[in-house]
Amino acid sequence: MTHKKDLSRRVFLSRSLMASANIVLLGCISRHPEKKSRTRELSTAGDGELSNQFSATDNAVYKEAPMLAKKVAAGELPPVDKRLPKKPFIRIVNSIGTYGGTLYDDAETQGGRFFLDGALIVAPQETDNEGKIIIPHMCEKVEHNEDYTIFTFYIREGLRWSDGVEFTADDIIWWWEHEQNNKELYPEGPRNTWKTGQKYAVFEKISKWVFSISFTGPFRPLINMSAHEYMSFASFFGQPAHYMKQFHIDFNPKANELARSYGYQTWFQLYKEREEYMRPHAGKPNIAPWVRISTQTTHDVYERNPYYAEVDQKGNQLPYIDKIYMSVVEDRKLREARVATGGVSIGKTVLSQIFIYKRNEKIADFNIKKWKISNASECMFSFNLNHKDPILREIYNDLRFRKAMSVAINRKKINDTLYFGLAKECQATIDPSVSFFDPRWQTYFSHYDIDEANTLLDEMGLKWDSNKQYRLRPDGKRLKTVVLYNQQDFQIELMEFVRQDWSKTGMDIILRETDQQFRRQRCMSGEHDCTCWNADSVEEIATYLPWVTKWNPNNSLYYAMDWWYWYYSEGKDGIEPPDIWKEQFNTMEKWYHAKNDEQYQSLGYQVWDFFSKQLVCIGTVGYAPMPVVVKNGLKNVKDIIKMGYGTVWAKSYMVQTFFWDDPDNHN
Amino acid sequence: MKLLKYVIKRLSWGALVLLFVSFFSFLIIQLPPGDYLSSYMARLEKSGMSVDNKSMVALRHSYGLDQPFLVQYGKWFYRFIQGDMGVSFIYTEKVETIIKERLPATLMLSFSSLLVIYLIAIPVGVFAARRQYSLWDFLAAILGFIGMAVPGFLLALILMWIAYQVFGVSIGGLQSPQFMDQPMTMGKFIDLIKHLPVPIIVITMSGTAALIRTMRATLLDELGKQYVTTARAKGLAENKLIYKYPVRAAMNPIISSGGWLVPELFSGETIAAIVLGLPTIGPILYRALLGEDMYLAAGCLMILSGLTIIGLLISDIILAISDPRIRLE
Repeated sequence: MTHKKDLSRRVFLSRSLMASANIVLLGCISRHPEKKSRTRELSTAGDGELSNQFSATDNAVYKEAPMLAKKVAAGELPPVDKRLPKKPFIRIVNSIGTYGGTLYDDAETQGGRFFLDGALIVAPQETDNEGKIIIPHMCEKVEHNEDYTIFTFYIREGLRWSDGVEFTADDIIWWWEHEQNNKELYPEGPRNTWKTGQKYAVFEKISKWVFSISFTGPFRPLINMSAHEYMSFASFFGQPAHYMKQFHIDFNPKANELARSYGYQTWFQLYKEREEYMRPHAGKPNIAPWVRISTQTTHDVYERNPYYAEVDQKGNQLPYIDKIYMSVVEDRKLREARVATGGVSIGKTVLSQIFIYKRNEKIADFNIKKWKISNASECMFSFNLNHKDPILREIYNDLRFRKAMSVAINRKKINDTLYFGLAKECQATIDPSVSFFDPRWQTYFSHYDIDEANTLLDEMGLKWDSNKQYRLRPDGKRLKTVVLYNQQDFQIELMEFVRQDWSKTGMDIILRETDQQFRRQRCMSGEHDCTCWNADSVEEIATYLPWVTKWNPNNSLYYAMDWWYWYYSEGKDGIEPPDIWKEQFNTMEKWYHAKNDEQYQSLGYQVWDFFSKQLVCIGTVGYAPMPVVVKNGLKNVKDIIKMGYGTVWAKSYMVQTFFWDDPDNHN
Repeated sequence: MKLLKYVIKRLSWGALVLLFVSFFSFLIIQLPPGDYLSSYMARLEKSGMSVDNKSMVALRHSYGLDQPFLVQYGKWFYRFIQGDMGVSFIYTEKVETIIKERLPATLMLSFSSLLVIYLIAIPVGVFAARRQYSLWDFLAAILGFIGMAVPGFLLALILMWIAYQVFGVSIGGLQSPQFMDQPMTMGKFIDLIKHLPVPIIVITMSGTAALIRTMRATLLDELGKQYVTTARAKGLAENKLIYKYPVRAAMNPIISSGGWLVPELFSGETIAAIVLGLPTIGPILYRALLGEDMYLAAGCLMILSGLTIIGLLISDIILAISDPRIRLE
């Protein structure tokens, strides 16, 4: 017994050492050649030591869930060490769990987002909770050359899909050659992210487990992309070639007949359905901790993936919990009620109604954990800089106007009234943990001073009407602004607070709530005055995903669509932006193709300094608490977590490490 | 023979109506700007994801949404008459499978609600009419008006909360999650019975209230007629008199409107079903309309219209049988 224990500890130590050696600190630590070679040395040393141990041990090192052990005994599954890759990912858990049980969660639609859904996708790499450090996950390591043009991915040797077939470099090449470059599936070719200059990336198989992606110019964000599961382009790591082949006309001449039997007309329609990476079809092989086994319009069931390549520090294969049961609950109020009555294993609360959850703590058998949400602003406002009306366009484009609007917001009042004073009153900008962050951005015109706001507006020449109630435009009409919004997770009362504050400066503000689809259409065609959205994707990893940031003129706030069209079409469409904006777009482009750390830092600073000083997005309060209710008995749930888009929300709470202290009572 | 001819005639008219319904539902679904993909993109954006234009072009091509309306409709209709309802965009599942999955619960809820409505409304209506302007009549009237006025979704939330607090019934759906996907056992059956009252009360509330008013009003009309006075003068026992003649006559409008109740139960319960999380067709149709998932929406509408036509036909036949004065022409 002691012998076995000792072994597993040695395995763990050597591997965690390797894991830490592979850590890449985004931006902060540069990967010098000498460092890289050290990494390689370490891992080869580890390799030799490990392979010795493996030949000696067989079943001794890894343990598995009883549910799988039964299947192994019945001959339905190979033993656990044959299912895991040579070097599985080792997750350090707080307490070693007990196998079994079910997690319950709700989603708005079948196959839609639910609280635990981040646990159902994995990527080559992953980030820590700050979205700052990137470590290899399903890949053993990811290397790149000096100037970020060639990236080499080393898949964990022996990694398998949930049906037991090996996951190899061929799966990645398949995705690129037969899916992205198929003219029926993608009539206009792969997405532009894979282009540097005019040329597409080259995907190359180096050996069974190693593949490389090379670009003609530097493309550093690929590191971030490979660690961010939500990015739809992370899907290069998600297509099981052996499964997808049956739907592809080039490999199955009867693919059209097959598609027809599923109700489609041609093969590519069925292929598109099965291609879905975020919500894989039941039965599609996957590499995530749980795989979907049944789909109905009322609920989905996910069951543990017997081949999931992750173990805890004692060698127990993760996840601990057997099943995830996801009910479809269409109504928002009903979902809230279900959380409040303990209908889900873990779920987010509505902050303004926290007392209801508190009161129910005993009867619904849950406890409340004080998690935080890393939205830099619960809701930020932006005025349409490309407004169709020349007078409004001129007003909104005046920086003094945006400064006035920012200082007119009483952030403290919003915080105290709606967030119990627990949020941060600050300007909307990137997260303080980002390596090139400047604290001045957070305080830039984020104080409250109505007089200053009025002085700024007076300076602009916006006169009051005869009653001194509203301000007038230069043409004598009342200065009216419609704020088009769609309720997200922020508290809707916030809108009313901002409206009142702005009215004090003589602005005639009309709040108009609309359907998200309508808001998107109106704003994309530039037919809005002002709109708002939350400031997520502010972690270091997310800020550097190409054009994903909310500050991008065409993303969610749509503050300068015409300029964006102009830039995107290289001057063919849209309206030519002013020089400072042209330069900003060029700086962003250069930043995404930074050659080294120095460029990454300095260009990153320039990009965000410009966005912050231009006040295109005016922040309110950010980093609000997001209390969650957790059923008593659910263990390994961290007491405090900052979650956000950059850390793929649910991914950051490591659902695969959750366990029930009494699994039999949670089936 | 006459009956058969009548049924055939009605059914062929029904088919024509269905044709119109299909065309207009298809048209109306496509009326709002955008299509399934623009609503899909809006949803993606709401969950913080981004989709580039190239993937959208690819998806639009694959869904055939780049074709003109009439081509899309023609293709769909051609497949529909062959029994193929297409695939839902939202659920990526055959429309047929989705409807099949949801139909049993829908039918069970609708017919048990119909039964409850009749069982409560007819006796209460008769009672209220016989004791017009008594305390009981006013009480029935008050309850009836409240039932008609209270919005179903609000009542649903309140009742669910009470069921949870007092009886410990889990909130939402027709079953506790641990019983889903399990074969029917005694425990599962009891669990189902526990979950039924709230939805049935919510769904039947307004229908019952309306029917009580109808029953009371028509019976009052009948009670004032001369044949009732004559019968009473001849010394017919009061109960026999009431139930044999005026009640039977007063039932006619209720029977003839029975056919309408079917679609009303299907669609009227939609809001309540969404709030209650019921596995019926209503919420699916609602989501399909919101998401501009035209195949699913058209499929649901066709099923609902079909059921309505059949429901009306059945109620007409029953009417003819129950009241010999009515002829099938």
